[in-house]
Amino acid sequence: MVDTKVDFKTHRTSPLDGAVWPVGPITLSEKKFLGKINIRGNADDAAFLAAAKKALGVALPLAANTVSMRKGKKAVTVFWLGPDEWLVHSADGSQISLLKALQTAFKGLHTAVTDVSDYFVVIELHGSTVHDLLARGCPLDLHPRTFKPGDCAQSYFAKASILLHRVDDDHYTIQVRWTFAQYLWDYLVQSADMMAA
Amino acid sequence: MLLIQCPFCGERDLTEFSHGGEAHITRPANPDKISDEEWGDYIFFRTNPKGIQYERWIHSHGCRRWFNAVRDTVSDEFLGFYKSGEQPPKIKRRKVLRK
Amino acid sequence: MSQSRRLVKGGRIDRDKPLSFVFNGKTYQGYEGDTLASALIANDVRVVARSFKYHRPRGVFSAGSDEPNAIVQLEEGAATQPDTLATCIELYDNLSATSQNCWPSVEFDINEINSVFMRLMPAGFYYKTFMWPAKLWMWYEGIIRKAAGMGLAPKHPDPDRYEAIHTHCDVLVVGGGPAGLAAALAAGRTGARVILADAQCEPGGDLLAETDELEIAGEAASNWVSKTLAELRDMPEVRILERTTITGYYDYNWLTALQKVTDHMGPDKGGNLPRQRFIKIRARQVVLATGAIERPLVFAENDRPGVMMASAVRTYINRYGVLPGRSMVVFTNNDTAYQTAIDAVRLGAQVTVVDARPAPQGDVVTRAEALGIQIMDRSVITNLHGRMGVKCVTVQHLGEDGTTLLGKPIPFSCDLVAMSGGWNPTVHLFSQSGGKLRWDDDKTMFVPLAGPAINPSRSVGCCNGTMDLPGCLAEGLAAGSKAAKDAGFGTGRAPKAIKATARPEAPLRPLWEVSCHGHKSRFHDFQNDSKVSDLELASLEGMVSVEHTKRYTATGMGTDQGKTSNVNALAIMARIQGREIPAVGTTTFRPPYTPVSFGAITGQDRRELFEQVRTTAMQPWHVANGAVFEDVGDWKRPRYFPQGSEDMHAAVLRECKATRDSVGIVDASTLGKIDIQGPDAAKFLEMIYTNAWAKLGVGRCRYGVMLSEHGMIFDDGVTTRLSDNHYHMTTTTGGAARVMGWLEEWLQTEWPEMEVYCTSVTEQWSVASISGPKARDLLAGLTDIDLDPEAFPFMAVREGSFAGVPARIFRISFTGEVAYEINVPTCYGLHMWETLMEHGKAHDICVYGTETLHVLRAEKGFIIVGQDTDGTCTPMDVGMDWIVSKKKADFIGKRSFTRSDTAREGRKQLVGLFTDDPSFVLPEGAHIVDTATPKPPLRALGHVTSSYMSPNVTGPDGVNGDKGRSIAMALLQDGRNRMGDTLYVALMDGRVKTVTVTDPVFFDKEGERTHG
Repeated sequence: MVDTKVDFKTHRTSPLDGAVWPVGPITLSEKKFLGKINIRGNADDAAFLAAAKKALGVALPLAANTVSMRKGKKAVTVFWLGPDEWLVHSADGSQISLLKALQTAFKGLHTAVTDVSDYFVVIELHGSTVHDLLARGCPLDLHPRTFKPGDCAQSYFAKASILLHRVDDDHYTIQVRWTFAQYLWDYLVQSADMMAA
Repeated sequence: MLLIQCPFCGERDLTEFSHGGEAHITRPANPDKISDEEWGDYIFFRTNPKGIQYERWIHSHGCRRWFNAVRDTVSDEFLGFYKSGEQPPKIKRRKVLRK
Repeated sequence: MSQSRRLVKGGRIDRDKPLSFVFNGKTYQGYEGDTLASALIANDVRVVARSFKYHRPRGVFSAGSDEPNAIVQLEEGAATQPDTLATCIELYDNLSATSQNCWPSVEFDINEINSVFMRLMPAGFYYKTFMWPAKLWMWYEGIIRKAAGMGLAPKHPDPDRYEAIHTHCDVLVVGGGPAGLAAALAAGRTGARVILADAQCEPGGDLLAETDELEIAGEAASNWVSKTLAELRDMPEVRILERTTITGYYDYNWLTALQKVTDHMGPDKGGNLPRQRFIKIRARQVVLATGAIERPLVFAENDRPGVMMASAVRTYINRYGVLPGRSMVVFTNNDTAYQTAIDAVRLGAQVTVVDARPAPQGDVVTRAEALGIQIMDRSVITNLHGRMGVKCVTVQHLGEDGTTLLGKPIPFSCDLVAMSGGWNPTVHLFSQSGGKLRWDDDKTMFVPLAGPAINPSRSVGCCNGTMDLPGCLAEGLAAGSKAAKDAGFGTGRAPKAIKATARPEAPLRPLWEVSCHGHKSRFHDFQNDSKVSDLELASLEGMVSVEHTKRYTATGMGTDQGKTSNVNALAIMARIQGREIPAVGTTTFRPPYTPVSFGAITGQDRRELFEQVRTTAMQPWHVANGAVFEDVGDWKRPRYFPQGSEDMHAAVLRECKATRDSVGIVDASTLGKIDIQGPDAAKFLEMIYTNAWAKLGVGRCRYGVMLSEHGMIFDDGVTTRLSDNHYHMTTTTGGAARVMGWLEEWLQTEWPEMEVYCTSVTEQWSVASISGPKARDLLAGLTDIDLDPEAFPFMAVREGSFAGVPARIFRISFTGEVAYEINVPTCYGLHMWETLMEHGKAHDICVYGTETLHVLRAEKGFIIVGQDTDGTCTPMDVGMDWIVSKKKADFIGKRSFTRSDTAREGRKQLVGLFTDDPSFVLPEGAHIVDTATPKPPLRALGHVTSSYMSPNVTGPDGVNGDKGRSIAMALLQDGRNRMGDTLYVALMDGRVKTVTVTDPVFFDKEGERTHG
């Protein structure tokens, strides 16, 4: 029998292998092995909201297409995905304890907490022309009047469904399903290449 | 390209959505108790109006929520959007053209 | 070298930057700022192309995208572009172009013989002449296409790159003429996001063709343009898109544009930039300032080289510094053409004005007379000489009725005819938006009437029928302000009016066709070689509708879509039919306004970006180990793993046998997976699946089939109860998204009261499925889970660790062997796989792909939804009565079982087939018939759904072995009552194969191996 002691951080692969790619003023990189948890629950239930806040250290965002963030050691970013659905990004490995904490907090409530850390991959984009690059495949209006830092939106880029987050003026993340990551990456790189005249 | 007002996410391009046919068709409560005709009506027959239609949409590339819309099938104008389970708004058909 | 028609000064060309270019093999010079057309005129190249049908010589006709004549093939080889307009090609160094539609040369085109027999080739000629015999049409068509045709499509892959992008704005202004600039200025000043799209290399529109006499805001118009552009460029929310044509106007103010990014640089000069950019614009408000297109006059021989639009002549003079003719006849029915006469005369040209109006008066006429220009009033051109270029015209008086010719014909020698029949507002985009048009009798033109509510737009300036400059500016300012306000910016009040030179115009005299003597060609549609006589013939032959006439005569078709011909054709039809022009109707304007290359529409979506390719975490291993892949939906899945020189047949036989003899492994990560949680989960599954779920124990798995409400199978898979209110569902690979959507649809729209949440987890889990007699031995060394069959029975799940990582292991089987589906988080997928392969060596592990997967499940008679079923199959049809609960009151699809068609006897049912010839594998899809000598008409009893060579099955003949035994599954009418029957399968090549109907379970009918 081989060693069955669980070591969560070895033996892992990610679809983009942690790639970093500068093109013109834009840098793309894979944000490897981020913890991701999907939460479902009733936003009209105060007990649910309180329990979520307790477990996450930050309230669930209730306004559509916004995020709430907790900074520091237990940093999390919580995305609004739908009227009863949220997604939590947390540090690599922290999702295991966070999942348990949420499950404990939600005991007796009708909720669903699901580990989707490997379902999705996050690509980070930095640079002054990232919004132009995103316009190469995404139909959203990313003008700062309509899509501000702190906003998120689910949409598509080319043929991939995405969750887009404007972290700051020139800093975005795109979350995409694991199996669409390479396609999205190639699309972004090739499109950025045509911008870099 | 149509511009659709998701009741949750706001205005988005048609390409983020999928159409779900006529709205407010309820599944019969006791399928075994109804006639073949009634069952056939439920699974096969739709109104297909020229003019105002109440129809279902899902924000497939967005929040993945079903909702309803009122659309004039002649002008393709949307006259209202409302959440699944809500009562449809009363809508009068607008004149198609404006100056 | 000479540029004999180039003026010594003037124009917006850069005389310090001479360019050389090649046309039809001859080298010429031009300047930066030229178009190919202006450079050709400068070099006195009169014949530029041959016409579409009659191969008549044609020259440059206009100065814009309305050009019907000067259509050329640009460049050669892979970079070649057919059907480009010389008037729209910006000249670059070493440009090369050739005439289209001619052989051996544009000067001597052998097909001009068509022109001689022109009267024998009227409208509908091809339809009538080549009708018989029908089977020769394909041959005729080839000849006709070669003779007519347009440019040549490139034979090589397009070397250029393109991109498609999305953009948004508050106000889109289409057109950068005076009205558009004013609108952009007014809207831009409110802070609204404005896009000004202009087709030319620099905005300004017709102001670029003006002399400095014309003043705006107290200075030369060209200065005002520069200052306005500078102000606009300083506004952070205003974008000016040059070389950008709005090509389509769709619902909810969604417009498409084609931006020519590097076309003006020439091939391979743009670096990384795309050649063209396709822009998809969502605008809150649209201001259309698309201008107007000058209307040709339809007179005898009006298509000869040297007959040009009057405004185009003026553009060539003032913008490009080229004088297209030294001895010019201006033929007009209105005031605007006089400006051309005035500008030409000042540069030394001989000019005569032939004006159809009696005693024209007004400012412009007075100025022309003051310059000594001869004006012949009440006059028209009745004939024209000069096949390769105008030499002489004949002028005659026109009677009050507008048709009678009076007096003596007077000949005039000339080398250029500049004509103007009035103006047609460019209403194409407005019309595309769903806008309705109105015929304005005073202005003699179609103008916008009202647009649809979903496409808020304002037409301003010439495209709105407002032809005077102060009016254009005022409308632009007003519309820009109002559009901005409607988009949420500013007060809606227009900025202070901009003063500009007014040029009052006297009314025109409508002149839709000009009488002539005898049978002369009077073209109304130049690109399609359509003449007045063709419209008359179409009417005689019964065409009344404008749409019919258009198709019969080709009027308004082709690449210019009738920009110059449509209104004239309508007016001529009105005369023929004795109706008013608006009663004849208009044709529907459709996108694109100007041609768009497929490459631009495709954008980045080509080659590896054409479609996403989904692969599993184990892909690097599959590639390194020689997998041959097949497409399954978006996925690339290993189909088989050949060893040495094996073909698929050999590899699959080996893989099938090894799996049943030792242990096989397949990558099953692509299966759809859905996490289902909530107190009503069991109740929900009871409705979704046909069988019972309420009593499934925690830690146990069950196979289920989902139906549509029609009672037909639409997906299947195994669902496992992980805890009281928590289930893990699997779906088919191709059905994953469909099933997820299906569950959500029912929960959200029909049963919102059910407390159930579904979350897709397909990619979260990587799955290796191991099966075979040695599967348990292999797994035993790698996990802490107790694998004893008592502790971990068939159809159960256990959680634990696998090779040091967390895992869920399901004991389920798609092969009929002892099997485990090992699930680990996808980041560990490759690790799991490599561990299994490494440790599997000791157990003779054999990796297999989808082909072996299919054979092994077919041996067991397991269906694949979508292959053995097709949306018309109930569970009973495929022999799965056992999966349908008899006790449940309701589930989706149940009620349809008692519909007469679903309940009837003799439906197509799933059966097995043995071929008489054990070595012959039937083609899937082949039809089953009941005769060995099929002759049409023939009734098919069903078709083969799955067919393979199996090394494990023993047939009725006792044949099995290394070479295998052919087995097949089929949907067969009344199949279950035909067990043991002999039937026939008819092949495409005429052969007929004899088969015996059998049970679809070919192997281990009792299922002992699974439980072993």
